[in-house]
Amino acid sequence: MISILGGELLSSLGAGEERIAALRNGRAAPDTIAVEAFADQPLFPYYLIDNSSRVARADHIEEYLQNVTENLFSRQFSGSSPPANTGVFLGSSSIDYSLTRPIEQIIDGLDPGKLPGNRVGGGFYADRIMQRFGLSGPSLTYNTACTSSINAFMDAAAMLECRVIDYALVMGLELSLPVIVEGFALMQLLSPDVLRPFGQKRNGMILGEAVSAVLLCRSDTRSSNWHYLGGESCCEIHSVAGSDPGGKGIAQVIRQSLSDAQVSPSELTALKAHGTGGELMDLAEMRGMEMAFTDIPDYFSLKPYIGHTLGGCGLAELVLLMECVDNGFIPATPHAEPLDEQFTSPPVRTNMDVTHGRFMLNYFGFGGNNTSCILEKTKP
Amino acid sequence: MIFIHAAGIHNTMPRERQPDLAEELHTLTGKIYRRTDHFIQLAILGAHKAAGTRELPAQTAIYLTSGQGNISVFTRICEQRRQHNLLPKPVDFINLLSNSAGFYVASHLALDGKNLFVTHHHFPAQMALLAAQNDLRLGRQKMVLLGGVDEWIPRQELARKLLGVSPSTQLGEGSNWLLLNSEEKNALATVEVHPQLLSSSLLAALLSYAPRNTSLIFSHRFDREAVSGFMRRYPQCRLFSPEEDSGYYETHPLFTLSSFLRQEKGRLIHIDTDGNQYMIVTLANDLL
Repeated sequence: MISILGGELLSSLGAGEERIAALRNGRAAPDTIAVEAFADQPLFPYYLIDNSSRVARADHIEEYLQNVTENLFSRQFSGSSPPANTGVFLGSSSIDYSLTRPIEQIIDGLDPGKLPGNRVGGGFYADRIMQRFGLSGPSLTYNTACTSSINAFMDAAAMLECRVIDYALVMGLELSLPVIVEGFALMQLLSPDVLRPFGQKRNGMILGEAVSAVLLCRSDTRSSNWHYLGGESCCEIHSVAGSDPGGKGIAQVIRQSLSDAQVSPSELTALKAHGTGGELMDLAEMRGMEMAFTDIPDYFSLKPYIGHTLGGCGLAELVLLMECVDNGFIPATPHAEPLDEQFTSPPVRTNMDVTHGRFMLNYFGFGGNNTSCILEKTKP
Repeated sequence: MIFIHAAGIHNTMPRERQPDLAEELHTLTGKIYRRTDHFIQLAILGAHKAAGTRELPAQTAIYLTSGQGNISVFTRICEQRRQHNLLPKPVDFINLLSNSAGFYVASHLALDGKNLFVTHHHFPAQMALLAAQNDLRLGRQKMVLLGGVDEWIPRQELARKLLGVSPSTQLGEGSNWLLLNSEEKNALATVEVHPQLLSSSLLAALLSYAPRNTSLIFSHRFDREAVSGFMRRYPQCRLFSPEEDSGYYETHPLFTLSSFLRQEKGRLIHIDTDGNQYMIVTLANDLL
């Protein structure tokens, strides 16, 4: 069995008690960001980690990744070094953060000089973390749209099961880049005001930033109350731009996840939905849940709290879920009322008292990427 | 142990512009792939060659790896933004944000299993192979179609800078795929990636025990002098050289493995380096 030893998260919600209070009280307010490439430079809500430094996000990537890793390692290894045989698994919707600056400089006719690590591109940041913390296990960087970091998490578990490594550092990374905001704005997928998962008045998603880290090991190495039970990742070939609104692909991955984890639907304490607030995406997700379950479990979305953190959402939402349950609750889903009339089952309306149980986490993205996994927290 | 059941090679050294693959793809598959870019077309081409006439089980997983992904689309988007203040086309944006190439390969072959795009700073092909090896050994997958895709871009100076190679390095592009299975029946070869990086002393120990006539091949990161040094130290081994020329690209090890399958019978050790440590893959096709 795979133990989840702990997690760290940088997001718009701040840290520690401030973050838990926001989740408990259903309060989270996004900043705004201007899409400068549009003639009228419209403002869109955006959940930013730090709204004082939005100019050069890419310059902060290493700092953010190092911070979450340092905090995690210092808590888990009490100040001593992590074992060298630790693998690094990083998921992001952009493998090209490290390419952006040198490419822009060359386009502008400037010499980027000697590049850090002598090369940029896929795997750059995972390699920097390996070097910074003296890790020598294998590393992989995942780019599977909104399922990137949860796929990294699940493959890290497989690497542990195969005894290739003793510990796995899994990281999720998503920071605002102009091209990301412009792309989603252009496709008219962004809400101008509020993220309303499964709501009748939902009008799109709100993007967010998140940098997260989770430490895993086999349960025979170290024990924890949190475990990864299993999951599945599938490719739905309906459309490159989204899931089949009929829900077939989503139902398939949910069923396979339950089967892999050997968990029956009735054993699920709650389900963390993808819940983007997108019209078709929420429809597909609801149809998928209706097909997969006779009775849909209590479900909730965390995106009204930190926004849609794209490739980083897998791990960021996993960390938030663990923190909430460790603090005795599952948060209500704000702004979901009134519920879409087509849906029979609303998301969690008020905080649920939960201290342990089995939790399904679902993620769906561009490129037909569907992933579902199940975690368990045993009684404290 | 895992087994190679098929291989597909697409390997070129463009000189001035990216080859037009749409027509080649149409000739080969009889289909037209709309809304695809060069990187995606490369991926489909290589995967199609590996799959051949087989009808793969729908649950076959796709593990696609690349050093820089669809770098030409990303560069074009950056150029359009910087020089013309243009927004990205939606199709470019979607292809940039996700592993669209894997999606189109899955669509082409009607596969709905696991579909990953993974990469690594030094060893994208070997790390993807390691992920596949794990999943096959654990029984999490029965069959994996694993491909390495790297595209050549006309802005050679930019490409060399990003790759960290010398100005004289001839760059190439490739889409090389292996069909992997945990079952031996009808296999072409066994393949194994050593999961840990090796120090020079561990590599020396491993090579000193290599059976007579083991073939060695070294990645593009070794210069001629270094390769000669290895071959002098291990005279029981011989140097494998693919018949087909190729330029530098980061998933090149998959081209090498596939070339060995095509050309030779025996045992191959592929050796790559990050400058300090070594990563090895062994392939054998003489015992099956």
